[in-house]
Amino acid sequence: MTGTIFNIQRFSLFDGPGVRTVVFFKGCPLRCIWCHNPEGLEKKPQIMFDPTRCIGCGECSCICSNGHLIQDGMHGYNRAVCEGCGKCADGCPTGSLSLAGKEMTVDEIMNEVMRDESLYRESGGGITLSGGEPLYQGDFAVALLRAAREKGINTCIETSGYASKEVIANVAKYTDYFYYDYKATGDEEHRRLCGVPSTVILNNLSLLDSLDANVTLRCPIVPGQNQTDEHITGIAKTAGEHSSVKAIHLEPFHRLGKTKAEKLGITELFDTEVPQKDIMLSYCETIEKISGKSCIIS
Amino acid sequence: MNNYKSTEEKLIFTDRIKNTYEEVLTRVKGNRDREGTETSPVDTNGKNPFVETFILRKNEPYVTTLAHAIVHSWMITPKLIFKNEAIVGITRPDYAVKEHFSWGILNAEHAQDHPDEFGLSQEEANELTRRMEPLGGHHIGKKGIEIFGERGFDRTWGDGLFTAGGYQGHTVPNYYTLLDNGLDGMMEKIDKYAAINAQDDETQNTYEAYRIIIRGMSAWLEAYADEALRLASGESDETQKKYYTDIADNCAFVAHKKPVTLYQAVQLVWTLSLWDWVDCIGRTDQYLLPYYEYSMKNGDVVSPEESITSLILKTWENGVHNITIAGVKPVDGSDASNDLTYLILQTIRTIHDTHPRVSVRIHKETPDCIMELITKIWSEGMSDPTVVSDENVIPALMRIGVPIEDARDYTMLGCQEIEIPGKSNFGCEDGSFNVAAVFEYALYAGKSPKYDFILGGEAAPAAKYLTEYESFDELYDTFAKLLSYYTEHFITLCNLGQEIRGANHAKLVKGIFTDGCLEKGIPHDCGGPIYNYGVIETAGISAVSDSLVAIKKLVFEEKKISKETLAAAMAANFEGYEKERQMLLNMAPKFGNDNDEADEMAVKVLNLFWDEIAKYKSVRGDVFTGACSLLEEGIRYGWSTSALPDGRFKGEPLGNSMGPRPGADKSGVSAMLRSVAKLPLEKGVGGTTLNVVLTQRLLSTPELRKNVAATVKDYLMNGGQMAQITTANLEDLLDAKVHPERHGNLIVRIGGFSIQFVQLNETSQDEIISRYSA
Repeated sequence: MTGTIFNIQRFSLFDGPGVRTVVFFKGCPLRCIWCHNPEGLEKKPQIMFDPTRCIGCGECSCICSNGHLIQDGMHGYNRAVCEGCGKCADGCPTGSLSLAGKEMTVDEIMNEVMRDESLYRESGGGITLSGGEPLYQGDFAVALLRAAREKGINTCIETSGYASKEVIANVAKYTDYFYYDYKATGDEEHRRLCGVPSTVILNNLSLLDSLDANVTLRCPIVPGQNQTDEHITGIAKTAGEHSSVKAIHLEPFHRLGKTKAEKLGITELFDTEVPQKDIMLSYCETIEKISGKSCIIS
Repeated sequence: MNNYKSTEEKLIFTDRIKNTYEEVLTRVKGNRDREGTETSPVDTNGKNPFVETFILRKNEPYVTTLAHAIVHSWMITPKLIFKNEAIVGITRPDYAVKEHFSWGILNAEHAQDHPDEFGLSQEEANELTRRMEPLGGHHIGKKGIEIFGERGFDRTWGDGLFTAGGYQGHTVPNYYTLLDNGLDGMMEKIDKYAAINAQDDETQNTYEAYRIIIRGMSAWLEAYADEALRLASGESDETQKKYYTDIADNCAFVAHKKPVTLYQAVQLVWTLSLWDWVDCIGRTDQYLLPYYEYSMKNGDVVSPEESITSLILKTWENGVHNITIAGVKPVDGSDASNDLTYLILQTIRTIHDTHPRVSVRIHKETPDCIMELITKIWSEGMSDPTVVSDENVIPALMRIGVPIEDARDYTMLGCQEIEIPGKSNFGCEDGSFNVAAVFEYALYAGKSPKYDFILGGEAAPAAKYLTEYESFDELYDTFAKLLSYYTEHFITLCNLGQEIRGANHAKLVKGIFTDGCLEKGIPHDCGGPIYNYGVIETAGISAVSDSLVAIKKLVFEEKKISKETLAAAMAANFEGYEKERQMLLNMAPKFGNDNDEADEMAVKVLNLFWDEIAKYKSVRGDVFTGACSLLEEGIRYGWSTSALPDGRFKGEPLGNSMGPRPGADKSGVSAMLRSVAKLPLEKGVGGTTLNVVLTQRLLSTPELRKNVAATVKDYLMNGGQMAQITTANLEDLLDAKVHPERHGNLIVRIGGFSIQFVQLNETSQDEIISRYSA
């Protein structure tokens, strides 16, 4: 069994306790309009092209004349015909072409992850599954978490919660901490902003309650989209109602996804302002008051 | 403050110390160039006490004349006592510095050039110079020319192959011996061993020189006592008057007797630290502890906290290079940290400057609150303290024959070198060597790409041009042979450098306070101390290993670049060969990413060089060991090194001490640390610096600081030797280049030095920015 992985990032301090290695799964069933990891959306491997690093050497056009054309030192890349084989990226001297998405086995990933084993022990850290949506490759996610658990390291998963009950239940067996998204209040609103209804997600959260999981609710706050009093109250209520939820992290909108989207040839880019810090702090206060649980800006 | 361990609370200086602090701050601000050692607040008026003494005592033995000159230089330095200060003694007259480093006595040459200023004939001036400097740089030069020819020897420096004869400055004297005996007690020791070793004039003269020094130190302290009394008699303010009389009593007491209280102890420690121009005061929290405990229990004229902070303020003003704290106890290896450990940390935290530099020794059982306090201090923007691994250094010292109890007592000194305090003369350093220059010879038929002849001529091992090698192994073997050849000659010249120091009785004061010298009757630089290892600073390791990996993979294995193309690309400094340069940069793994192929090559190259130097003994008696704590040498050697197959342009820096090539580490801090920890750092007993730049955000909460502490500790416990952390925001660094005036407080590390970022030149600034990790 293999999974499609687009990045393995070591020395991550913001994705769970201690020092962690984050494994990014490719592919996501949601289509959040503000998505900041666009290379995680499609499951199939994709070529990312960074024109600023390109020196126009033409190596790629020798490898794949369908996809690449160098004319007057300018690089034309035809994404429409690209099958994502990655040969051009292998041959690109500068790294301006790279392949997001690689088939990897559990062992291959764990070999990389366990390089920092002593550091996990020293810091209480471990592995974090992220994406994309790791549960979109549910069986592989379970297999990876189980392997990590066997090695005795801490396990975390960052998920939208949009998956089958079985997957959630299986994942919960091997997961120490869930970072669980709560992005919109109300089924229709969730469908509008993320492309899928929220019922499944909330049901799965209830399932995690019954499994005694440890959940941190992660809530992106996007001005003009979900930055409403109603949604803030929705976060607080949901957090309060679910026993598995131990804390809430608010994530103000940021623009870091922009560069990556450009490299993927995504031209219609979502943009809005970054929420003000004092308003975010007041949300934290409100949420803590209603839910009785800790709420911070992450 | 109630709890010196606190990360939240800060040390609030007492009124007296606060006043002292502010006065020091004014003086320090007026004196920017502390690295230039121009910190003496007195003008020496161009008068040279060494020249004066050697003229006056022209028929006396060299060594006693030198001792008189040292004493004379201290006695004519004004006895300045600043208001509020508790311990006294100013430094560093220029001439004391020069004597310390034995760069030849300052201005002996001046007398030669301007005999009339000294009332001498030219002949007398020539004779004076010869007498003041029994052996000069020509001692190395003569041999160097013999080996490499005049043109060749010139090139060894000019083209960045090596610098032999080095610096040989820092060692830490035995403060226990000083404090246990007092100055009168030291005199008794000298007399005792002079009698035992009564065998020849030279030895007896040396002991007599030691007596002159000790008498001088006593007289200097008495002169300070007199000055304090004089000031007291004219002082109307009762508090300040009391300060003066306390100083007078204190100086008069330790002028002869051994200290009882902490106040007395710190005055005596400071006195020796000046006289020795020691600049590194060793394990301060250890040797001062009994006195601290005594004064805590019995009271003291100056409070224990004030005594400690006074000493640290002195080290601040005088740009002291290294104070070492924490670690294990020599006797049983248990944790040695104590109140003083935390008090010293809190004091430097409050001072928040580039000096004094502090090293904290970390071992398996180091209390967590030490790392908590250290990471807190880093988070506040300081690049001190440096952390050092007992788990690496102690076995490393034992590997070269140091018994366990002495190994456990090691101290950091200078720009992160290692030694056994009061017992050793580690070269520190005997020379520095650029491995990348030899690698160039291997690629250019034994020549440098900059000139058309072979250093050493036919005696040098034969080499080919890159295009002529049949295999990677053939290239590597040639490189190894060349390295062996140049190392041998380099070590010969380093040893001549040591002979100069020996003959010149360099660092005469140290002989009295270094175990072995008195007992054996042998000077400090002639093998007197118990341990006499040599230390070689090493440059160019990552550049060479990354280059070797690139050639192996892209040229010989995958044949993506032909030998001819690579040779042409390097010769053109990659102009017109950007594609090939990009391939070299991106298609071959680089050291610093926890990539086994790249890291194993670095291990291989470092072993090759450090095993090579370990074949030789220092003339002082023990083997040579490696070190890598490069200051501007990493950059200077870079200037003279041509384009290399790792994609590096001609002239770019060669690397930051033991770390990866600037910008080559792209897999995160933990991967970089793991790469470095794979290196045979246990052979780098001279000290291997690693600089890490982190964002302040990574240290912004207690939870994050715990993670950074865990990362650093994991590195130190698993093969790492030391780490220096610089915290900064990338925006700050970039902005500081444009608006230096706004970023005076931005302190970064380069080599073993903490320095204001805005004082660096652009190359150094860019080098730091390139190793910035988010």
